[in-house]
Amino acid sequence: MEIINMTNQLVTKDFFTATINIIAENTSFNYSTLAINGIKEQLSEDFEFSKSIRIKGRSVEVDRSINSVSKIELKKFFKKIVNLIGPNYLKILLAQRLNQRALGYLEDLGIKFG
Amino acid sequence: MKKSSKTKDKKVIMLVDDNPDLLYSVKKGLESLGDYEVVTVESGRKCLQLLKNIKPDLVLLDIMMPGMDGWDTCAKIKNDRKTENIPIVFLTAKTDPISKSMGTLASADYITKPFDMKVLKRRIDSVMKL
Repeated sequence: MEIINMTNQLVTKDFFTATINIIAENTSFNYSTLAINGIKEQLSEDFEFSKSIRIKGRSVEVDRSINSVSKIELKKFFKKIVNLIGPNYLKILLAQRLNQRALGYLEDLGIKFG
Repeated sequence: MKKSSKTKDKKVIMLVDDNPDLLYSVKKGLESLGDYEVVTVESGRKCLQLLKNIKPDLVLLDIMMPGMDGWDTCAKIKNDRKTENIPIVFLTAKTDPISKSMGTLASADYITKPFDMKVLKRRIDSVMKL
């Protein structure tokens, strides 16, 4: 799978954008951002780098500093989020939504979608 | 909200649903159990208006309502510093697993209709002890 030119920063932005949209399609946009911000806050103690992710309205901003986070830590972070939201549905919907580069990067981290 | 001496120890529940029959039956059912005073509201918008004057111990919130639905009502309650700590329990006919999974992300519990009044009481008590 093509993962050239993908970085922690880009995959995090893609992951959060896709997740917010998936939750919003099943609830509402306001509820979705509330839920994702709540999850981010919940995880901020264990994953300090989550503070470098900011959700402003419909846009997700991720600081470049996240590129220095290890792949193991990033994998743990994404896995926690997926498990909190509901792994079965979210994985299926994320696999449909994410572009091949982001999907490949996440699978390379060790997050299985199939 | 001022409570009469008779009701001062009762927990106040705000029940939000566009179905008047459900509002009536749940209010009657919960109040007959003796521990609660139930304030009924028929829309999300009215719920937000009422929360400016009343601070309930819990909000029981329907999801599928015309106008502002339960998702948006929940988000507005949780995004307001004055009301963010009020526990919200979704009370809904949406039984699909995705809604259930999404429903507990920002609320305290998710109860599907139809429900048994004793089960509802147990879940309400459990949330209010948190």
